[in-house]
Amino acid sequence: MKKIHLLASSALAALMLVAPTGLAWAQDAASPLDGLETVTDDMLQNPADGDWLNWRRTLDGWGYSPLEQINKENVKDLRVAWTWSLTPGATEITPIVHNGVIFVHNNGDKVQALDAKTGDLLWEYVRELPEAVVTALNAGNSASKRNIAIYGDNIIVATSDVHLIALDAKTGQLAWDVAVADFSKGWRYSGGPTIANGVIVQGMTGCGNAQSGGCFITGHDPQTGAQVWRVNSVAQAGEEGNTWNGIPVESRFGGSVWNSGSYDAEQGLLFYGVGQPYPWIAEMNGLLPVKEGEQNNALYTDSTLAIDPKSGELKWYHQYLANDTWDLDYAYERMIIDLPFKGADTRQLVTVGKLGIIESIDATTGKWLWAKETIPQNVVASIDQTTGEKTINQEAIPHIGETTLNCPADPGGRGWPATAYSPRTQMLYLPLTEFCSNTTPQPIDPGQIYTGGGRATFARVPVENSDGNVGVVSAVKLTDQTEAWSTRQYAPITSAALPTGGGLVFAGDWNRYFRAYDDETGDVLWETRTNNAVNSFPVSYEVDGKQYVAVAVGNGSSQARSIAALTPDLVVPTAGSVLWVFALPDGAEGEGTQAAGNAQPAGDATANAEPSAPAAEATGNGPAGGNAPAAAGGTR
Amino acid sequence: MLSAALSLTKEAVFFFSLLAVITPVSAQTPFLPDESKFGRPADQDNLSYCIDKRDPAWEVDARIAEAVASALLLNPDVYFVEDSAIRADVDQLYRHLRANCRLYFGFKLLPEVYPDWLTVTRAYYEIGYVFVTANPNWARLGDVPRDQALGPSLATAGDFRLVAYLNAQPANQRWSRYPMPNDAAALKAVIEGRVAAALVWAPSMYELGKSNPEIARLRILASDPMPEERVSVGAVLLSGEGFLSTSVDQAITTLINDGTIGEIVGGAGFPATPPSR
Repeated sequence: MKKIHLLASSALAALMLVAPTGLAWAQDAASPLDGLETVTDDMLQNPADGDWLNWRRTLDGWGYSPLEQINKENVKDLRVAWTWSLTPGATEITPIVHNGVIFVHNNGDKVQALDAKTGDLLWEYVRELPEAVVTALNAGNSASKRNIAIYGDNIIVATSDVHLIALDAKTGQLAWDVAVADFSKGWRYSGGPTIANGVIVQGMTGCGNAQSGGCFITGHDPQTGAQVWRVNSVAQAGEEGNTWNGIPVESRFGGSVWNSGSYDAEQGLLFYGVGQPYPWIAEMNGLLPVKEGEQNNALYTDSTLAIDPKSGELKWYHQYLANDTWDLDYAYERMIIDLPFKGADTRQLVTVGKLGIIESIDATTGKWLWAKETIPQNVVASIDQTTGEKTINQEAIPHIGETTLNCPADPGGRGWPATAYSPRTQMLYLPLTEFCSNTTPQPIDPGQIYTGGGRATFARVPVENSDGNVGVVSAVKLTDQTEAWSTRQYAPITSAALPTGGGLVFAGDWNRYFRAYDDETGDVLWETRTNNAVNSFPVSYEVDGKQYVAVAVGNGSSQARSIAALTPDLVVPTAGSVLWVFALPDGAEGEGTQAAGNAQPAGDATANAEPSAPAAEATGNGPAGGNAPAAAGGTR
Repeated sequence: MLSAALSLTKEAVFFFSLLAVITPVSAQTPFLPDESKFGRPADQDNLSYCIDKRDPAWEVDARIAEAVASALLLNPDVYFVEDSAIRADVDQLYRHLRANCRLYFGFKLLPEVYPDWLTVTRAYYEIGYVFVTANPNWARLGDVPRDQALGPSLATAGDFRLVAYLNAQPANQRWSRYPMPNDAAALKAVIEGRVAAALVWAPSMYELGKSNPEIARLRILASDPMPEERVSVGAVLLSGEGFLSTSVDQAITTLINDGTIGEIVGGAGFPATPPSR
């Protein structure tokens, strides 16, 4: 262990007297902070293979790492490189990695910079949140942020008290702090920023029954944080305003934008997903019964918004699910992928909503292209193969005074854990859940202040004829929309998917397992058991020629806990949020580097792919069982 | 139906309903990362309870809570919730009931809205939702022309009754319904003429009218042709507090029978009545 000392004791004393705090540590050896390069738009659009600079690594939203040192042949040797304890609570986080520094957000808005090679703390920023914020967030998962961003010399964070802040990436010192909305009115941030063409873009959530007019997306000046534009995610008067069943703007609620977006630099278009109307039950929010002469598809809920990031102009939109009365968001990652469609290369925008239906639209026009179902659902009866318009199963629509069955349940056949695309295989990898809900609308006012979160009782139940397995990881070939493989297991899959150039797909579950699957077959090639639910976005990066895989674990995510109601025998600890980082043993990095598999090349990343080595048996020789990361048998 | 879509029979729905009894999500207690900080309360001679100043009826609830403590021969130990958030998820009650108090006053005793980890006391008074208008010519809801809009505070128990009523009417006999974010917004919409009548929780009308003469001047309409909606109000506590729950119920019964609660609500000019049963 290297000796660590404070920069200066007097400096520490001074820093401790101010809040929020940014504390910096220095090391005897050269700090990786010294080599931290200014992050440019070019770097964000074409990140170095060893960096993870955006939420989904690249702005096209793929969530793919081209690193191939850890591959199908040697992944059996993967070991713990280091671990780092995080603030207890939900850890729905995506670390940012740049030039050997890993930046991680902790529950409750502590941001830390760590040496990505050793796990040594370089600096940390602790935000002092108002007591009301802490009280509210401790009963939920809004104190976790699914991503942070890096741009210029700053780390950009959307905070739990609904500010945007910039921290100096080298010191953790606050560079600027801008209040965007009032927490006490219900506004929330749970996703993080996207950087698009020099603009910080952030989606707002928490737009329940107290936020007339719904949610919005804002663009900000990276130098000051000043807001430069705002796009409403709920159509206002005069803009597609006749789609809300004749109710005025002050009576329109919802449209939360609770995940980050994608950016197509060639087109100069930013893509964001929008959630559903609020309250979820249409008879509550006024979208049912539909009035004569009115439409009730409730734009722009459950849509993709294509936005010019410089001006904030809404260029076009595509709505996937009209009048969503089940909480079946289409608010997740948008993947920009060039794929053949009906014989022509087409720039496609692929996403998957909670229904688990993969849908592709033309990324240049918004025209619907195709759909592919993945899990049992009973909400959509049919899809028009030209327009994508969905015919809804009327029996699945909730009504006041009745209990109806809808599949999937409201946490989603896919939740916020992201799907990911590998250009190596041209497959989309999906963490999925099979379950349904007996849904009974309930009034929201048991207490005048306290309201039911979902405006209904959602009794989550297995799907009809279930084999008892709730968790599914599937791979779908996007060129022809066929299922390549699918694995089933009892424990819910609770992490995002991470495909790599080494022919692996990493994903984790509620039962604390973190696994590497063969990207072509779904065979489990490696698994380890962590100390808590694997419930975040795994990333991979490289430092000094060594590849690492990092993933945060922790309890507290409402989405994961909702799914886990179906597996009550799988108990995970309350405490113990940890960042786990894995790597091959020293000297083993060179093994099998050309053995990633025989997937057909689909781009530069696969040009050197070789025929597949025989799949290794799952070895389970990671740090099995132990709850304490320190006892997990790491190699360092 | 899509190829993988479910074909669900009534039998299957019934089966799922049975399963739901086995695995309700509400059986989970809310997640608190710092749960270990909160041990078993040692109340000794105190009755620990929360009063939420955001609730328009908090002053009446506070007096009733004091009376309950007195009836139990305990010292009132009140924790005033000073939160500024205008809405809170019901899960946040868990933290208050672990950290700050064992009883939380001012909750509507609605069926099936509470998670399994919460239980309710018996009611200590009844009150209702009221239609409110600025039009002096209307005495009852039925006087409001059907081409006008009503502005209910959205998705309340009173609004549910309104929705059910509207759904039972022919389409051309329905008032337009503009859901309002809260009682204050609904009353403001009436004053500004954007809706013909609001549907609000009666204590809100009472409390907001104290400081706003325009609200005080609004008129309450008889609810017919809809039936009047009366709602019982009590306190909530954690489900494991069986002895406390029984004791508080007995105290409330005593206070209703000896007229104490009637005196409190009547003396405050508060439009509530002791429970009818």
